Amino acid sequence: MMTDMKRSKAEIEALIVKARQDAPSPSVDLLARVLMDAEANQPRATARLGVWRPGLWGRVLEGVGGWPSLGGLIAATIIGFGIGINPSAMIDTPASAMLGSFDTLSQYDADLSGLSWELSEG
Amino acid sequence: MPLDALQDTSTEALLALYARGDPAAARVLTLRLTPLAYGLAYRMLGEVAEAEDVTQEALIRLWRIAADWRSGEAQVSTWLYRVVSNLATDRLRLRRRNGPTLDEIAEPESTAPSASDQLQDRARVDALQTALNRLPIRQKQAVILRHIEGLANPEIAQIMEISTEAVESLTARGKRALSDLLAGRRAELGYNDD
Repeated sequence: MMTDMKRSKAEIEALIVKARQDAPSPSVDLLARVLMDAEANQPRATARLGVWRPGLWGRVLEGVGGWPSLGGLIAATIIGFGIGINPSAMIDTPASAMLGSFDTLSQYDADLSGLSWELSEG
Repeated sequence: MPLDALQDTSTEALLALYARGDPAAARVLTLRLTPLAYGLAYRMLGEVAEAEDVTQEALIRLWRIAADWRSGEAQVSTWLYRVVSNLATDRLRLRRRNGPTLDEIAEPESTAPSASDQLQDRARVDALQTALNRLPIRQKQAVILRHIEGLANPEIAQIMEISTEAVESLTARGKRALSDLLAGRRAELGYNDD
């Protein structure tokens, strides 16, 4: 009885070893289907790899020539806006700073007229 | 990344590459994991078309969760074995509810008895599969994972979501039942009493 059990156990072990060696393998068709599924469900490389693609503002910025050009554009816009609101202030003030005001010039005129009076007096 | 460079890469690292869009990782994972899933599915179901369906379904689930895979929590193979086991178990239960009982399912066509050793080996493997098909589902699952797939009891416990002691009990009972089922076919399979 014990011998029968041992024999039976050994036979089962041998069968299992045989089954392990004789593993069922997938068909080429199944492998192709699985690969197709893998590719269809794979996240896109660009999204996952973090490759930067400019958005709307990025593309606008590129269109005007990047940040350096945008700086100049902003300055020109501010000055243009100021001239539109108050033309004399925006033009006179810088001009006065560089050339002096009309009042200062008329003071020189007064001095000059005084000198001509003294000259005429002798 | 070239295919050759990925052959020695761990499955988990391959899955991370797959999730980042590496096409070579998709190919290597397919070649590595399909045989694993199909082997278990076929042993559980004993039928090619159903085993293929289960394999494809299990792997689709893996592709879909790849981007959310949490590194270090579980082995990919353990996760895959669990999904295949669950899908196959669902089909076996459905079969039992709707179709003939396992005892009524035709056995694979036997080529025994034959003078050829090769044919006799085939007949023995078929006989084992037939006997496996007649085991209760959980015993069958445990015997396949332990003895045919060669997994350790703690990993089987994770796959089956039971304790290691329960795995030991299932495999012991399953093996005894296999022995009983095959006892009547010893002569047919070429086992002599001498």
